[in-house]
Amino acid sequence: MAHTTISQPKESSEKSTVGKTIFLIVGLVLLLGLFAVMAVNLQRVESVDLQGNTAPEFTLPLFDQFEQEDIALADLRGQVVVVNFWASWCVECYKEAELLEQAWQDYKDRGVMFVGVDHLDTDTEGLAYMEKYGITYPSGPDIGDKISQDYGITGVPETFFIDKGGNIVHVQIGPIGRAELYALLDKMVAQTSQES
Amino acid sequence: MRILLSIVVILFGLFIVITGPALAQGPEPNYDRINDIAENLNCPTCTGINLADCRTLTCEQWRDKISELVDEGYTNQEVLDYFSTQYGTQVLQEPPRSGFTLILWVLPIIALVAGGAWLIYTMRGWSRPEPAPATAEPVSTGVASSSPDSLPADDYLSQVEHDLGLE
Repeated sequence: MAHTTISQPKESSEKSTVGKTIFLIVGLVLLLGLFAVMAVNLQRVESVDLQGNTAPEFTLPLFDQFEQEDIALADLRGQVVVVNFWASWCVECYKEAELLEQAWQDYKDRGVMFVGVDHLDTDTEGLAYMEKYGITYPSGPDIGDKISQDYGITGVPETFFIDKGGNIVHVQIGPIGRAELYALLDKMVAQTSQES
Repeated sequence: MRILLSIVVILFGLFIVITGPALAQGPEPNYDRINDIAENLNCPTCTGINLADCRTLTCEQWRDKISELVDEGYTNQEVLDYFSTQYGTQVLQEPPRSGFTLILWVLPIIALVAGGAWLIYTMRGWSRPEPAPATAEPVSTGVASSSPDSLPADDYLSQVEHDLGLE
């Protein structure tokens, strides 16, 4: 008479290994996905971090009232450029609207270009705003919110002062005062004159 | 006859004066449809509020824009496409199921499936009895075994079988 000892089935341990491998792969995929989302978030810039850096390039389509169809930052190299982000629904923007127009009138013949970027606004309301405050410098809608994102604006109004070399020398969050605006422009124009 | 004609002219004039402004306003906007569309859009200046529930000036302007596009014959999807083109995909309540934002749709599903599978796998492990080293039923060979694991009774049984002439 004999009796046989039955060993554990090999199949069961193989199944367990396959299961663990699948979980490991799924876990890795989830981790990679999360890292990708985090990487995209880290890439987002804040406007103040751009100070001292090269201004991101953009081409802004202009409202119909302007002769030009669009305006590209690259074409303005060699001039001081003031890029103002605004919106018709922004109460703080009202405070500086007329001042910006006045400054444009005062500096347009001194190598300064003003550009208005209408942020998350409807064309109808944007045009009404421009008419109300008599804005005549090139302005247009930020299609797809792309320029606003590239400049990392945290709200409106925000104004970027770009020197003739294309570098951002000052980022103004919130409305700017007359004294500060004119002092800044005088300084930048003087630098422009010295360099040229 | 002249009096009758005068009355008709006066009545017609009154009709124009009364109904004129109402006719000039055009048809009443379809607020239900505007709200249906607005529910799929985010307020651009607040966090976590859809366009239908928001009462800011921006949202009011955007709802007017929806109304304008609906009047122009846009379908609901076309209105949403217009807004996402004009203001970026972040204005949509649901991120697009293409490109990078596809990850936002796929990751939770993978996590849910993987979590469910892991739970089932673990629970099956709990319900499975502890594996014990099992022995097979003793097999009678008819021959006395001399193996060390033989039971003591085996020798006796073999002797009985031998004595009875069964072997």
